[in-house]
Amino acid sequence: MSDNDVMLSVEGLKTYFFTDKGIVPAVDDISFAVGAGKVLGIVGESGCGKSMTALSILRLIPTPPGRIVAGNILFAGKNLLDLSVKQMHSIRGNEISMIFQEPMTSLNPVYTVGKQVMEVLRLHQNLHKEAARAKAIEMFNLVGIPEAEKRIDTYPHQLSGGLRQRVMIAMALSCRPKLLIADEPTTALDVTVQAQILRLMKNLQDEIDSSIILITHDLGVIAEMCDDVLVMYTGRIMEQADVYSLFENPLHPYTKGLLQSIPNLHKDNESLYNIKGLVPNLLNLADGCKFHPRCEFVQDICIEKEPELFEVTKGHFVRCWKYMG
Amino acid sequence: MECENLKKYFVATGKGMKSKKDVVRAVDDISLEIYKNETLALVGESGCGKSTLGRLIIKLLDPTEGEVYYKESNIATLNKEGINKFRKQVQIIFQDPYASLNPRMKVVDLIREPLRTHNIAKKKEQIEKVADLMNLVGIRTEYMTRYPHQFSGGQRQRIGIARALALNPELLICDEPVSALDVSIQSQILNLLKKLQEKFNLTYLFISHDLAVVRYISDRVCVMFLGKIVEVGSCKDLFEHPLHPYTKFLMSAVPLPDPKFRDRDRVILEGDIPSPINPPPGCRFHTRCPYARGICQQEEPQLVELGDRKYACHFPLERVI
Repeated sequence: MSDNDVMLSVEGLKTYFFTDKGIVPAVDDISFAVGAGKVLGIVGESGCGKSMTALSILRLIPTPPGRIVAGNILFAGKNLLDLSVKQMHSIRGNEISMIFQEPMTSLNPVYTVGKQVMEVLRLHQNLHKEAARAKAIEMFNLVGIPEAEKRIDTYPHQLSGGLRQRVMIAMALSCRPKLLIADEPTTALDVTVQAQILRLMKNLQDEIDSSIILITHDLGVIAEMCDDVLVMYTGRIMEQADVYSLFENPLHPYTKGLLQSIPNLHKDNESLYNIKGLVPNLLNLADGCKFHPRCEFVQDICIEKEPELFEVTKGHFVRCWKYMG
Repeated sequence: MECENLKKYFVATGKGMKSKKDVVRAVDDISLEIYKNETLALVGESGCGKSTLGRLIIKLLDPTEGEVYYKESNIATLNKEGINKFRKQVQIIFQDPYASLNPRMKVVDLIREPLRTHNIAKKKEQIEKVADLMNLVGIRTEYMTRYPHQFSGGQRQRIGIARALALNPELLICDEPVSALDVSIQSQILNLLKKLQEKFNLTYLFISHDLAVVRYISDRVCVMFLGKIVEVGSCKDLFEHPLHPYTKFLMSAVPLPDPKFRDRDRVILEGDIPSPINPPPGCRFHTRCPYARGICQQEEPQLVELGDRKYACHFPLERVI
């Protein structure tokens, strides 16, 4: 990627949580770039740091106990970590916006959904009330909310999960952000509604021409939506590639294991592959490669020393000793 | 196990100003058999009544109408002794391994509780049995004196399974047992359930919204929509040749873990699941069905048998053989 194609680049980001029990390295030295108009997927299991990466970009890490201890987050020529609180306010919801997993808890239950969408518009685009309302209705139509003029005056609890998520998307896109961060946007939804929301996000992305960071645990959603993928484990990137290389030729034993652990809908499955062991506790990480206690291909060096992220073929990186020299 | 014309209506009473009573037909006239030693899956989206049906079958809820038979005896008319026996033979595993274990009890007591309730064996033997069960589900016996919060989600689900197996049941209701778990842990639990079924000749009623998981684990599948059965059939047959349009669209909505298929021809259903308080007249699926015609809006399709398949649709998809 040349420099002017890059929308956001994260360099050496470390986000640690300082707790009574010790330091939790939730995000540990990760670097990546999101191309303009591209969808970057971050996939991993609970506690791998995917959501913390997203919150770090928006500087929404609860402090204390969390803190970004190192790194740069470069967006439109600025390092987001150097900005003042006020400058950050004008970026959040405006140039970078976020969609959360649970639309019920991220919408305010005591205001109508219209009011909440209008708030964003009035704040960031200085629209007066009528103009904001007209624009909100336009956004509701865009995201496919039927009877937008009526629905705009309803409260979140009066809407179904799918409609609430559409409201969230309308709100997130109302200022035409350059970057949209979607954290498990469809996890709480039924499959038929999930398919609608994913299609909607894809269509709107083409229209608004924004970049997306899509965080999910669902490899199906990744395959369906993304251009590039990061596979995370214990706060680190284990594998990084474009979506086709990753699914056709997964390199890291963890990625392979994950792919083989999902049952196939269109085939009879004799027996499912198991990654042995448990998702580790971040307070108590193994030495060497963080995946070695669960890995089938473990060698002596894996236990002693942690591998670097290594470029195996162009654009395909993996953190595994198997592929290093 | 068999149920006949089972109905469960919940009455939702409006509070305060609104005193209108709404009836939610969570399970509406369902007849279904579960055969010995099989895994029958109940699939559907939220609010389709799959969990309610599971609870009716093990008598955690009493039906508004209809009967449930277990080995030919009607569970509604069982006497106290009969119910006790029934409860030993039928157990349930819940979705949320965090909510279904009492946080103030140690693992050993959690797994032993059913043995104590049913007064089986002496304390020492009970504890031996707990150790056996823990080995069986893959929890180290040293952890007997730990509390639930000291375990991860997957381990808790194993504890839930051990507890359900304590009384050597014949039928196990698994209500979304893997939906709260990470992928790598989900496959471990699925394989454990399969292994246990073989070992103890268990019968499973597996309730899930995840079609890929259902395809992996079940022998027969029952697809539900808004309190009704839309289709029943053997697993392979049903997934390869769905007869009801809803089954087909449910399948095509699942994102496939292979980017090569992302541009596949697929129909995405429009609209939301209708409210079970006022289900649409006629076929309940007609508001979302692209194939719906006049009759679908007026007449509710009956469940039709076709070989070992059943479906409820006026215009079933053509059967490709």
